[in-house]
Order: sequence, then C-alpha cells, then structure tokens
Amino acid sequence: MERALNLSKVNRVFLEEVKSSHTGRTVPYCYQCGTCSSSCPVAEEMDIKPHEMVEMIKLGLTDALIRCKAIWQCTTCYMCTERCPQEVQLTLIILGLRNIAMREGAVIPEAVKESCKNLYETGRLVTPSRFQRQQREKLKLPEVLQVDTEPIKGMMKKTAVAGILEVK
Amino acid sequence: MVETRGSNHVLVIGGGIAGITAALDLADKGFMVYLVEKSPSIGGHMAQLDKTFPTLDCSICILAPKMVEVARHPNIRLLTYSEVEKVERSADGASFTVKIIKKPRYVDETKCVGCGLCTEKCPVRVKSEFEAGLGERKAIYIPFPQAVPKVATIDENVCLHLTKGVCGVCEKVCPAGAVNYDQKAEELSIEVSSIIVATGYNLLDPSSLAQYGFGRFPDVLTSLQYERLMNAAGPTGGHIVKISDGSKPDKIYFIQCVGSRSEKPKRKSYCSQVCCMYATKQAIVTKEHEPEIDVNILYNDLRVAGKGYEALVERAKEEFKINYIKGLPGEVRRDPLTGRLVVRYMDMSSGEITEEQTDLVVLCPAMIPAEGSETLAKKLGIDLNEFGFFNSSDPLSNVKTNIPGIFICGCSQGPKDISHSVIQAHAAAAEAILRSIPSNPQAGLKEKGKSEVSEAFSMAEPRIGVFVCHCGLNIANVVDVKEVTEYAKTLPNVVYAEDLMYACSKDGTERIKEAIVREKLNRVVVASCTPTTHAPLFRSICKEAGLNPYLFEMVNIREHDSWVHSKYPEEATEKAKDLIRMGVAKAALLEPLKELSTSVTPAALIVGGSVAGLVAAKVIADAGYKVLLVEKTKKLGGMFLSEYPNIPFSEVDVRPELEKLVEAVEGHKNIEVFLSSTPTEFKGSIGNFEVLIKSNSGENRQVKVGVIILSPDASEVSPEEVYGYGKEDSVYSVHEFRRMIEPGSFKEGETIGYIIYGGSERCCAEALDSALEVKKSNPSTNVYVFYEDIRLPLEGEKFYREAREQGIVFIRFDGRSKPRIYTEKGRKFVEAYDLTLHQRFSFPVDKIVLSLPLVAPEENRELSSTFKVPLNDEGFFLEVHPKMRPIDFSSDGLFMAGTAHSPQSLTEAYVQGLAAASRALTPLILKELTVEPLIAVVDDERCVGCGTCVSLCEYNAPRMVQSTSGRIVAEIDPMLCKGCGICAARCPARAIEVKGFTRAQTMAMIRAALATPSPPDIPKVIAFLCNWCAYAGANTAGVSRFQYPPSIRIIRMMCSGMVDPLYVLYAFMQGADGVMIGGCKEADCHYVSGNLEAEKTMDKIREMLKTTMIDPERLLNIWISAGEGNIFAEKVKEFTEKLKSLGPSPYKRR
Repeated sequence: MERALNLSKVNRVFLEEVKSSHTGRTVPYCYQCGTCSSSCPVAEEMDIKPHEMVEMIKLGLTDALIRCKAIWQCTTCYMCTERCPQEVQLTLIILGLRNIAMREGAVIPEAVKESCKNLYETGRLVTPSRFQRQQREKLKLPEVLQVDTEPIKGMMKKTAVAGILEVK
Repeated sequence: MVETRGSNHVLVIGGGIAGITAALDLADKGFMVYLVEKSPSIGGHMAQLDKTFPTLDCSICILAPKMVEVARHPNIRLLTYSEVEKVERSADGASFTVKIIKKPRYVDETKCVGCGLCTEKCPVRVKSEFEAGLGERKAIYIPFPQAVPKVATIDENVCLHLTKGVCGVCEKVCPAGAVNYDQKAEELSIEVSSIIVATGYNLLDPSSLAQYGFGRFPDVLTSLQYERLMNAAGPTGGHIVKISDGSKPDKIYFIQCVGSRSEKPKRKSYCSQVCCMYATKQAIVTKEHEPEIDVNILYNDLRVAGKGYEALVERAKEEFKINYIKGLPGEVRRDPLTGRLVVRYMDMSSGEITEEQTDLVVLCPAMIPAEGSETLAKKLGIDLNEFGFFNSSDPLSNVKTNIPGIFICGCSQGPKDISHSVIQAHAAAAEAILRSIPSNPQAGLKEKGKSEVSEAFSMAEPRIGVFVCHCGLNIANVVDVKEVTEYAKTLPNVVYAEDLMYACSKDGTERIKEAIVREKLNRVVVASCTPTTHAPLFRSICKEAGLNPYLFEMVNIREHDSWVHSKYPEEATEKAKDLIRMGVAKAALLEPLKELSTSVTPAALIVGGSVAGLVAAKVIADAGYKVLLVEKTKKLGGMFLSEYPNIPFSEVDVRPELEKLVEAVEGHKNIEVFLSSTPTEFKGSIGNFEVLIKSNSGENRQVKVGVIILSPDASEVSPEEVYGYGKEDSVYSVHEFRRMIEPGSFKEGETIGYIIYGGSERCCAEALDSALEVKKSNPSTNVYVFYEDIRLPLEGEKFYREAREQGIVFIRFDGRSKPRIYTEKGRKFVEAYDLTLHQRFSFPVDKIVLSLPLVAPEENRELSSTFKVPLNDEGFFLEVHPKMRPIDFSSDGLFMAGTAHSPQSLTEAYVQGLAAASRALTPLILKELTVEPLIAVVDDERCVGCGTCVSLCEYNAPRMVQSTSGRIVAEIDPMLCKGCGICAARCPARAIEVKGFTRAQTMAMIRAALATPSPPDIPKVIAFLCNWCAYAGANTAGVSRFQYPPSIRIIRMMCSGMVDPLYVLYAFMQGADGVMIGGCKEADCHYVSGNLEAEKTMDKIREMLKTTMIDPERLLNIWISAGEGNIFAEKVKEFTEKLKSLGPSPYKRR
C-alpha cells in the first residue's frame, strides 16, 4: 500500500491565510460534491481538479498547489462558481492561488509571463493585429487608442509580477 | 388526567398516508373524525408511487385497503375537494370552530357511480396531475382507478360547458343524472377538540435549474414522473421507455440533491431525507423490469436513514449491480450527433471526470412544503419553520405546534418517508387523545354491516362466486387472469366468476357486493393477495352484502404465485388454477360463524423504562388506564437519560424535561413501576394477557393486562467491534466526550479527530453536534471529522455548514478502508484514505472521538422468546409491516417502541413512545373486542373422554364435563381457546374440529390440489404452513420477489401443530410428490409448543413411511421466521430438487 503522507509537517497556516483573504473566504463551505469539476470546461486537462484544490487548501498542502499547472489553466469562465451549491467562489480562489504562486516565486507558465510582459509594455493584454487595424479603417472605426503605460507600469512594479518581469 | 370534555370530534387536514393513518387511528377509538382533502381523492403522494422501500411492496396495494377503510368507516366523515376556510379557537382553548368549504365538483357525489362514461366522452384533454404530467386526463375525471371517493369531478377551469357554455356531453351521457353544472360551493361549520394537520409536500420544479435540462429535454424526468413510468397502471403500462420516442432505454442516470442542500437562491438548503432511498428503490424496480438497463445513481452523501435501508442499498449494489457514483453532475445536455443525453460528472472514487451518453435522466428534486401551507398556517395560527414547513414547538413531541390542540404530522412537518409519517400520525393521535376521550366509543362502531341473510340460505346448496384480481399488473403480468377466471367458472358449485383490476379498490369491492346480491351467492372466493392484509376487508364486504363473513375464502395468487414465479407464466397460471380450485373446494364446505366478543383488561404492561417506554406509560396512564412498567435495571430513563440527554443542534436542554418525565411516571397514581424486574411467563391474547413479573430479589407477581408494549433500550456497540481496538488513552465515545466539554477543557491549538464509521443519522448528528461544541469552547482547536457519508436530519444541514464555517475540516474516507488509529513517538495519529485526493494521510491528533452505532438491546432476545415475537437479522424487533404498521408486532395487542425497534434519535424514540401509546390505547378505550370464532369445538357424540386435549392445551381451554347423556366428555371454553388446533390434530377420536379449518375442508383442499396431474419433471408439493411464521415467510419471499419453482401448493394452517397426521398420509395417497410442514422456529410458536408437537408427529410419520412405498424424505419440515423469505425460497428450491432426484411419487396421477 501507498505510504500515508504525514500531515504533521505540512503548512497549517495556509488554510488560515487563504480563508482570511478576500478570494479564499468561501473555501470552508465546500462539501466535496464535485459539481465544480464536472462543470469546468478544462478540468480534463488539469493536473489538480478544482474540487481537489479546495481539499488541498483545507489540508494545507501548499507546495503542490502553487506549483501545479491547473491554476493557470483556469479560463475564469465562472461556471464552477455559477453551479456550486455551497456558493464556493472557486474562480476567485484560483485567482488567489495565482497571487500566492507569484509571491512564492513558483514557476509561471511562459504564456502568462508573455501576457504580463505585453501588459507591462503596451498597457494591453492583446495588441491589435495589422489585420484588425485594417478592418477598423474599412469600417470607419476610430483608431485604437494609445495607452499611457506609465501608471500600469507603476502598479505592476509594486506587485509580485515585477519579480518575473525582472523590473524594479 | 384527561377529562371527557368538549366534543370528541377531530379534524384531520390532508388525506395522504399521514392523514389517513391519524383519521383511522382516532376513528377506531370512537372519535368522530372529519377528514378534509383538497383534491378530489384521498391517497396523496403514496397513491402515485409504484413501490415502497425497503420491502418493494406495491404502494397502492397496501394503501388502497386503508383508503377504502376510510370511506367505509362509520366514524369518519370524508370531505374531499374541500378546504379549511376559517378556524376559531374557543376562549378556553378547548375547542375549535372550523369553517370548511366544499368546492363544487359539478357532480352529485351521492348519485355518481364512478362508471367513467362521462370521462370517456369528454372532449377536453389536459395533463393529469396524478400521472405527474406524463399522462392526460379529461375535464371531467376520476383521478385514478382506486380513487376514494370514486366519483367524477369537473375541472371548472377547462370544462367547455363551464367556461364557454358549450358541449355538455357529460350531462347527456351520465346514466345516473349526477352531473350538475349549477352546483355551488357548500359551507360547513364543525366544532372539534383537536386538529391534525397532514398536508404533505410538493416537489421543487426543476425547470428553474437550467443545467439539468428539465423541460427542455423530454427524457429528463422527475422522480415522481418516473414512479408513474414504472407503474403498471401508469401512462406506459409499466414499460420503462424514453418519452421522446418510446424506445427502450439502455442507460439511466438518477441525480440526487436536485435543488436541495444548496445555498443558491430559490433552492433549498436542507436535505430531503428520502431521495437516496427512493432512487435505490426505483433503480431496483428498473432492474427488475429490464435487467439489461445500465442503472446509475449520482449522489453526494448517501443518506439511508431507516430500518432495513442499508441492507436494501447493499442488495442494490451486489444483487442488482446498480452503480452508485459519488459525485454530482455539472450538467445534462444533448449530443447533437447522436441525439442522446449526455451527463457530465465527477466520479469522486476514480477521480475522473466522466461524460456518459444516456437515454433517461431522473432528477430527485427537493421536497418543499405543500402549496398553500403558508395560507393554512395563517388560518390556523401556527408557525412555519425557516424552511416553510409547519414548526414543531416541542423538540421531543415534534407533533406539537405553538397552538395547543393543533398537531402536525407527515411531510408537512418536514420531509420523511412513509414509516416515519405513519409513526408521527399515531403520535399526533396520541396527543389528540390527551385532549378528550370518547365516553361511549362503541356507539358509532356497532352499526357496521347490514342484517345477514338467513342461515338456511347460507347453508343451502353452495353458490360460489370467484373474483380474480389483476392487482394492476402485479398478478396479470405473470398469471393469465382471464384464462384463470374462465377456468374458475367450470369448477363445481361456482355459479359466477369475474376478474377485477383491483379487487380491493372501491370499485372492486362494489362489484363483489353487487355480484353477491345479483347472483345470490352464498360463498365468496377472492383470488388476489395475502389474507394477512386483505381478508378483513373482503370479510366486511361480504358482511355488507348480507353474507356471513365466514363464508369467504381467500386465495393467494400474488405473494405465493405471480411474484415468486415471474419467469414461469404458464406454470404460474396452472398454479393459480390449482390454488383457486383448492379455495373453491374449501369454500363449498364453509359454515356461517358468529363472532365472539371479549372484554379488555383496562391495563397495559410496558417492558423497558426507556424514554419511549416512559412516554407511552405516561400517555396511557394520563388517559386513565393502569400501567405496569417493568424495568430490568435499577432505574428508569434508559440510554438517553443516562448517556445522552441531548438533542443535537437544539438550543433547548431537554434533560430537565426527561427528568420530569421520570418523576411523573414514578409518582403517577395509575402507574406501578417494577424495577430490577423482568417478565418471565406470558400467556393469553389481546385484551387478556397474563404475565409473570419476576424481580431480582425473587419476588413474583402475576399480572393481567389488555395490551403490551416492549421498549427496552439499545446500547452502543463497543469500539472494538467497529474500530478493532479497546479502551485506549485519549480515545472516547461521543457520549463520553460530551461530558468532558466545558470552557477551558482544551489546550490552545489542541487537535481533536472525530471518526464516524458506518454512521447512522444519529451517529453523524451527535458527532457533529459535539464537534461544534468543542469549537465553541475553544476556537483555537483543530477539529477533523472523518466520515464516509454525512447523514443528518433536516435541521442538521445548517449546522454542517456552520461547522465548516467554523473551520472544522471534514475528511471523506473511502468506505472500503476504515481509518486506522496508531501511536508513534507518543503521538496519536488517525490514518485515513482521503477519497477526494486519493491519497492516504496521517493526521496527528491529541484526542480521538468515536461515533458508535447502536446495537439491538440484549433484552430483545429474552423478550422475543418470552412474548413469542420475532426479531430481525440485527436483533431488533420485527414489525408486522414496515410502512403501514411500523410499531405493531404480528400478534395482536403487542407493540414496540424506541431503540428496541431500530437505532434512533431521542426525538424519534419519544415520538415512537407516543405512537405506541396510541396503538395500545385502541383496545383499552374500546373496552370490548370482537374475537374471530375460529376456535376448536368438541363433538360430544365422538368424544371418548380420554383427556388428551386437556393435557395438550397450553391455555387450559378444554376441560372434562359430564355430557347431557351422562358421559364424561371434553368441552372447550371459547374465550380461552386460541384456535391453534393442536388438540384437534391429536384427538384420537377425531372428535375436535377447528372452525374454519375443519378436516373436511382441509382434505377437500388436498384433494383439489392434486386433482390435476403436474408434468413429471415438476413435482407437486402440498405445504401446510403456519399462519404466523411459515405462511408469513412465504409472503415475505413474495414481497421480496425471491424466486422458487412452482411446485408447492400452500394450505394455510393456524399452527404447524394443527396438521393432522391424516393430512400427510392423505396427500401422499392422492399423489403428492412431497409434503412440507412449515412452522415457527423453536421458541417462536404463537401457541407455545405447536411446532414441537408437529415435529414429534412428523418424526413418527416418517418412521411409518419407511414401511410404505413413500420415501420418508418426501416429508419435510421447515422452521422459519416471518422475515426469512429468502430461506423459504431456498428450502422450496432444495426440496423440489430433492423430489426431482427421487422421481415422481408412486401414487402420482398420470
């Protein structure tokens, strides 16, 4: 039989931290019915499924959780939150986990880094392509506004994102 | 004390099973009951159900007799299609003036004969409420075939005549002239002393829960619709099909918790209590219909709170291969390519997200308060609870409301199953009795039946009428009822035969009555189900038609035929013919008999000073009857008072209340308490029991009582049995632990682990309650609860959520691997397999608290043998019927209450105590009971005065007297004789006969059974089964559908000791391949030792057979209990195989 994982050494503060945060306050209400995971459009791809994330928070299994891929795979479609019978705000919980992952310096997927970089540099997550610009012109729509990136840069420098962007 | 004050009139609102039970309970005691039902028929939801769990009884089959009884009861005024308009309480609170509005049916109830012609011709079709929208009804309609009253009602909202002034066809076709478009609402004012509210429930409409697709996809049904789909009388004739195209489904998913246990707006936060069980039932019935359908149940926590329920779930898993999948689905959608439904769910035990194509989806929606509950509550002035159900004002007697004299029961108080509704209905009746007692209870009851036809007519040439029941499809699915009916017409003395859809329905019984009069019948045979439940009904039908009720014979072609030979329709049909031939042969020889009456000793014996026993004692004593309370230990109060005087989640401290109860009982002038005592000897029958009470100090006291309640308390199982270890440091039971919790009893950050294993509702609730207390006493504690399924009562769900909010961590383990406790380096650990993460974890803990299940009282075994009452597999008392008579023993006058019945909570035990009191009070209040005249009589001329009967009888009924001719002969006291027939079977001169079981009658049955040869490969067995155990066991086999070969022809005897050796020999001479004698297990004989007598006699016969051509192995005796249907089926199988190997009997007809 598989050896039991001794929970004496795990991070007990974790549950308290998550629970007391704005994003994690609904964690305790989960009663493990699995509705969230069966509502999630990407759950099949996740290494840790939404309902498992909640259980891991409860047991204080921090490390595995902030290092998993799944928290970055969430599309924030809110279907889990919409259907959870116990009103657990799972999407928010995942967002909270992303914050902790950033803070703790966990490995962040390249695509996420890319988006962060884009945002930092252009003030946009998505920059309009040449094709899109041509289309707008054709439809007589105004040009896409230039964004003043300075305030955004200022904000991002103060967050954990600064670490992965290597900016100060 | 109860005074006879005010009126003895009671109003019951709601005609479902709870209302029906309460109404009959009180009416039987002489109360005048008004039963108000707002729909056109009584019956409620139970009438819509196909089967009931855990016995899988046909729901309408067990309900219809009760409905008919309501309609026929002289003390019940049935007001259907009526509503309570206004209620006023008298100044002294002793009575209520109630205004009732009888809505216009536009049909004169007194004229309508329920022929259905109007319904046939009516052009307007609308969805049928009874068919849960799956079928249609007309604008003028009778809701269902067994409706009571069986009269038509016009739906004024859709009737063309009433809405547009056209049509009018129903009026034209009605042969009785009953249609009256001008009918107006009637008003009725009554005065009652109590009101019992039993208005039931509704199901939440799942169309508001978009993800399940109800309303969008026709193959997504509610559970109630599925009941109708399974039902033989339902819209598809009992064929389980896809609604979309009528094809047979390959796969079905049941979805639990639809709109319940949810915090979302418009959904219900509580658990509906019964869905897991009815889904289990529906799944099993589905498999019985179509074994190849793949049946799946998606659930979150499996809630199986009731007696025998766990065993049914086990059977569903093991025997029927039903997949129970932990994990609720996100959605149901339709695959655009295949057109099939797709269910997407998280299978928690495999950890996989699963998408399955399926054909049907059955939703189990939340049960919600019945429509109009709020308005009714306002009229009555009673409170609603936070969920909208009527509020119980007392945590113990939960039938009480804030208004004295208004009581609640059934689902209107909160979702519950039929058994619990019935128990609560009796409890509500007990509370009503305490407000007023009828002074002349017999007054209304005596008028039953009309005058009998002359004895000369009864004794003239037999004119037998045979009525063969289809029982919907229960019989007709297997037995060719039409063919059997035609066959019956050919039998000697049969002048009339008819097949009936439901013989027990209002319609069926009316037809029987009409036929008796029209065809001048003087004998009636009904071939349907078991006489155990239905003979009394048909007897009174005969009586009403002017026929002596004992000129009736019942043939069991359901439990003993169609249900147990479902795969052999031809053989079952042949067997039905044999059984009817036997019944007709006996009927021809029946004699009219006069009922005897006996007075009731106005006292009750209660054994077991548990909470249930104490409550029962107090109620009976308050009602003015003597109570003898016997308790084995040195003090009263039982388990709850000494161990756990607490109602989980309740703010109210009930200990003082319980202590007050003990004091009240101890000081009651009508109660005599016997401590440190046990009942040792028992004899007598309902009304007149004699019991010897023995005290530990050696004192004996012989007492006489009219009724007996057995109520010892169960005890907790030892931790060793559940967790495999004994008393250890820091390991406690919930009960022990509770006494330790007080402010400051826990260190900062101390960790407590609760383990709930194999938990009942009680276990979970007590553990959760205790865990919350720990957190309250010191919020810094870490509390873990290890569980498999969280099972909680209605109000518990809220506290489960609160517990999670408080930071209590719940770990769901896999039921297949129990949590383990171990100590390492001085630290205790709980090791459990976390089902969610599929990982084994070790949790360090400081204290461990175990939630321990209850086991049957030790005392049950002794009481079972003293009082000759049966136990179930687990050692709890076995009731006569788990739904309809949940606290009655099979022997009249004996009842059970409290944890001796099943593991239960304090409130449940209290309510059962009330219910038992009400059941026991019926004979006491009536003062006089009529006794069946089925007793032994001596033929003076034949008696040789040997005295064998005197030495055999356990009841001292026979004595030697001088006859008119001067000879010394035996005479039997009819009041002492119990009709067991042991004396008759052993009388050397054959001078004793038992009325209703005479030698001539029995031998005619044997002859008839063997009149037609059976195929050589199917042996024919004559089985003499005792009424109480073996015959009842054969019924259980039928109810459970345990299949056995169609070889046996059962002849019901009152006792195995009644079997005259002559019968055995005669059966063999007539060509029987085998003879079976079935009786109770050794200590269970209802007549003390009839079974032992039978065994002795059979041994002698076997010796004798050695000298004949009959192999002694062709004679078998079996000793089984009423619950052992499976053993009965096994024995028949084995015996049939044995006889096959022996070959046909040398005397067999060819």
